[in-house]
Amino acid sequence: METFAEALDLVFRLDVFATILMAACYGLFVGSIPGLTATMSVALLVPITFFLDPVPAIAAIVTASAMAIFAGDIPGALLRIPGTPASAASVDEAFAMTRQGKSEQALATSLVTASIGGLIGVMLLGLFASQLAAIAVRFSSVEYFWLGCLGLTSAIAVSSASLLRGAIALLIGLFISTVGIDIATGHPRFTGGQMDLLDGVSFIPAMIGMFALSQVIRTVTADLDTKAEVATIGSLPRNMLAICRRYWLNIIRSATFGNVLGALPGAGADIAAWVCYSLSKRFSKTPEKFGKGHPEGIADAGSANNAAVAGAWTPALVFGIPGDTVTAIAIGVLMLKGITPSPRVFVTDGTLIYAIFLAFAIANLIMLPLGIVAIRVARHVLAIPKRILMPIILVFCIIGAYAVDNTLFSVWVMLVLGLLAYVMEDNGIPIAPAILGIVLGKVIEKNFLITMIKHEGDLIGFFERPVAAVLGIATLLLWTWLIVTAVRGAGRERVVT
Amino acid sequence: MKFDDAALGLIVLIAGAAIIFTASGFPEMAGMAYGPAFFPTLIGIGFGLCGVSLLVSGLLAWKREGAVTWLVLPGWFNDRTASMRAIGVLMAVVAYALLSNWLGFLLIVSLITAALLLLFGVSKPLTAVIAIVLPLLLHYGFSVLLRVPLPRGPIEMLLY
Repeated sequence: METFAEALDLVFRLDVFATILMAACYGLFVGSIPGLTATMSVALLVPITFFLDPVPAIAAIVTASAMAIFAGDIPGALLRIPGTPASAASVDEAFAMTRQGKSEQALATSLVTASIGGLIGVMLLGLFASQLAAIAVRFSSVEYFWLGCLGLTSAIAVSSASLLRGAIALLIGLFISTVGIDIATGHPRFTGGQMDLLDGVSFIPAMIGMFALSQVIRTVTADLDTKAEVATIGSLPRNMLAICRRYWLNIIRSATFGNVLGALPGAGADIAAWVCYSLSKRFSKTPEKFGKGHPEGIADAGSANNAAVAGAWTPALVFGIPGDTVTAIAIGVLMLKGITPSPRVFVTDGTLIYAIFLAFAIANLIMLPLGIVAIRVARHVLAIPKRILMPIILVFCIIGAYAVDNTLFSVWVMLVLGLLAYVMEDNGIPIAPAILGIVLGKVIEKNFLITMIKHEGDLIGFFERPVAAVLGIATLLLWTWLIVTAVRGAGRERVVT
Repeated sequence: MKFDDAALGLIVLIAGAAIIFTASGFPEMAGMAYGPAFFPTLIGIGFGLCGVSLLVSGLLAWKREGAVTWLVLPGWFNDRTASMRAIGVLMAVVAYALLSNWLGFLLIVSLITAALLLLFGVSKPLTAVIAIVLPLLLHYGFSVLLRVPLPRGPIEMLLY
């Protein structure tokens, strides 16, 4: 309780509130522009958070990502273009409502469910994370090794791309993580003699390249000239109350489930929204209304994706294993601030962790008033020509990459990885597993080597401790299952053709 | 830039082989079977397996359909305006990386912004306003508020 009071002290300060407010407006703006994702908003925010204190820095990331995920629903409902991938699940539903002249009902549903879903998500995060940490304190290098492997496996298992392409993405990320000085012998690996690569590929410039630069290239070559026509929007608050009363059970169910899904590495807000939308249809009393402009599915998808944003922080804080791409970046920021995510973080930096939870709660509360404003000004934001926006975003990419280490080498890193991500996406190779590979590669290799040194190279060491044995067997079973389904799928394909 | 499965498989396979070959030159760790080369070699093998599977499925498809397009260039490659825009974006990044230390932050950002805005078809007066205001705002934000040492050039020398 004492840490909680201290956390209150840390958060209820003018500079923190000002940061949250600015990050909220920024997140709403980026999220409501089609093509700019929540991850991109965070990647571009990092160079700025870099120079803030830990609490406002993390509060800014948390707020921007939560707002961007909600704001993605705005162009989804108005233009049938999801602002972020997490809005794609319910976009047809919302647009159907807009066509019937009920855009205010669709947007009110998105907003109120996002806010409540986010709040439930934070509560579950606070509940689970400390419990999980209490167990995880006894984990050693073996358990971390298996957790890393499990994280990587689930990253491919849940990715929407084919298993093979998911695996390639993962391997690309793992390879990038091996660049730099080897932790055991100090031998430089794959640096090509570049001094700047001895510390490894700089993470933030890599993120900015892969998420922002690749998107800029895609936009300037594809839809720079499209113009948006936006419908007028009626009263929101009245609709929000009605939705809460009618769908409270859906909201609680999807927020809980979305939170758990969000905690799985690789499964972020987008997957949570898809799964909860289809569950909503299956459990609905009126499944025939789905797809024709029915708010029920929007309520489920809306609460699920914002609850998932909070859920992703559970493994990130307790194990340092990111639940999604946003937390992958956030872990990097925490480390820069001298906070290493681990089960002990609740003891060593307890105040800060509770401050993060509080910031999360505040972000989801102020989402209601700010969201209404955002929906009201959406027609103006959506009218900003991309031909003006793209050069500005590009300049932000360049400065963001440069400012983190003050070296021009980072600008090259951003350029190369941006082009790599562009080619990867063109070939159906997803980006998210690669990001997890970059983050988890070092964790896995380090803990593998530590375990091997402890057990003098005996592989039995990986199964000696009970928790490790369970995690290890779970990982191996998951691998077997993945390979069996992949081979069977290939076999079936051959029979068909 | 979409590669055919067979072509992509070949690229992945070659990448795997290159990783394994490079890793084979890493020093051993005394008394251990697992040194700096162990993980890169595993990754290389993974690349190899994925590459072979893609290659096989690509070649099977080739046999079935009788024709193969190794590489499908994106539509904008033939569209002059669009490809100029893509080149413009890439050149802007390269220009910052190569020239910012000589021209200084204000000048290079102003030039990049102006060039891209004009290339994308924004009107000249608006371009001028953005190309002057944006660098100054960013300079204030990063250099003054966040204390990032931005590259200095002739204009910065004149200003302070």
